[in-house]
Amino acid sequence: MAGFAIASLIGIPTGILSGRSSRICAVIDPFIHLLRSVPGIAWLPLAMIWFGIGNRTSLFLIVLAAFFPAYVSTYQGARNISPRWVQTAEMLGATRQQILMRVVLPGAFPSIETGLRISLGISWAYVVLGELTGVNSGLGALIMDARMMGDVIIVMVGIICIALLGRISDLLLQFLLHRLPGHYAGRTGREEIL
Amino acid sequence: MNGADQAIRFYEVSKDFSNSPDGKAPLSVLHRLTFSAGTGEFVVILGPSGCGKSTILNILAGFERQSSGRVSVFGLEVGSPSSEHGMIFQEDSLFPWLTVKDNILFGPHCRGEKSLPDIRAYLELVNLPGFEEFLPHRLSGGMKQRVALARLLINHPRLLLMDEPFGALDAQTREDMQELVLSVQMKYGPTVVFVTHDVDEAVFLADRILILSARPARLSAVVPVPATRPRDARWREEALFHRTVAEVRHALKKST
Repeated sequence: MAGFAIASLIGIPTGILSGRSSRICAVIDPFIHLLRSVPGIAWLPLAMIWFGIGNRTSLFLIVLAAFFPAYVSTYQGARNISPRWVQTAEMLGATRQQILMRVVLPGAFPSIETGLRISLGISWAYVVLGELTGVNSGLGALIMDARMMGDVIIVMVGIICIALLGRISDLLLQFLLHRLPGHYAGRTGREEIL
Repeated sequence: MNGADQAIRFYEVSKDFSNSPDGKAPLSVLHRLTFSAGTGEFVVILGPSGCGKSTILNILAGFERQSSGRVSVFGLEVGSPSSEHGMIFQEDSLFPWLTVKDNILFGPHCRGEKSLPDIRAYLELVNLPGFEEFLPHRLSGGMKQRVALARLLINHPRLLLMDEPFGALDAQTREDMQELVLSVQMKYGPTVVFVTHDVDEAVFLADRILILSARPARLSAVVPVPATRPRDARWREEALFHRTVAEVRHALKKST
């Protein structure tokens, strides 16, 4: 959870800035995509040297892996904001900061939501991965123990639990996002035109 | 037509777009265009499509800069966009995540006004009473343009720029909207620059019609509209209206 929250808190603002400023984009975007092409698991040895085996390594890997979807989709959403909206805000007297907060952020919201859902899924995957490799409690650890005992049933039960919990967390995230003020995805075009 | 009374001055204004993708010569959109408009005047710009009509509005609004020449609005050079110059676009420009009320209050909110104006008066003015809490996707095209108009009027702009605002509406709604624009202009008295390619619309609304040539746009004729204000829907029925329409069509044909 903490890993996902940190990743979103870094990913969304950098995505917005990078999507709206070609200068910021030129500096950080190539660098981020270079890092993105490294599979998360390849960081494991380095993380183990830095943080040892355990929760902090897990946290590091989750933040790293969950950051990219949040960043990339926020970036795309911010970049695709209709220029008309920005012009409209300007002529209604909005400052640049107000345009970011009142137009770009809500306008990019549908993309941001997609990114966050993917990020959360990845976070969850890395939690389990951490438990499979280092952390010795949790569902991942349970599966590994069961494997040692040769108990396939427990392994299967573990997998089903992981799936259910992943789905529940996704639904919970959507539920929370849909309660944010300014949320409008899914509210467009569903009802009849007056 | 001179001195402090002038709302808009376009003097020898040219606009070239140099970043053509195929590396050809720069595309010249406006060529040394000169015109002016008095305070409170309703000017309609007519011309063939693609002749740079919208570019004129974009320059006046501060969205684009001219390549050469001078542009002043109320005696000041046009800098960045401001709430003094409001623009209505052809397509929907409402923020889909805000209700009608919050769309209209966007300007006052941004300025951090403590006592927000009463939006009911503005909704009544544009004939949409009771729609405060609706989201834009539940409104028809004509209603959206009414909200866009109310959203501008709440800022009390001195200059109203309209870029084929009713081009996407059906004929009946269009006529209603034209009458609405007349009544709004009578009430607030802003200077209006209105771009269209509909001759009837031009004659119905304008004090003066500027006819542009094909690209690069030059002023090819100016037709004053011989009708007094206030006007209403009956102006469309008069013989003088039809004579003026014929005259404008003729001038338009000669210009292309």
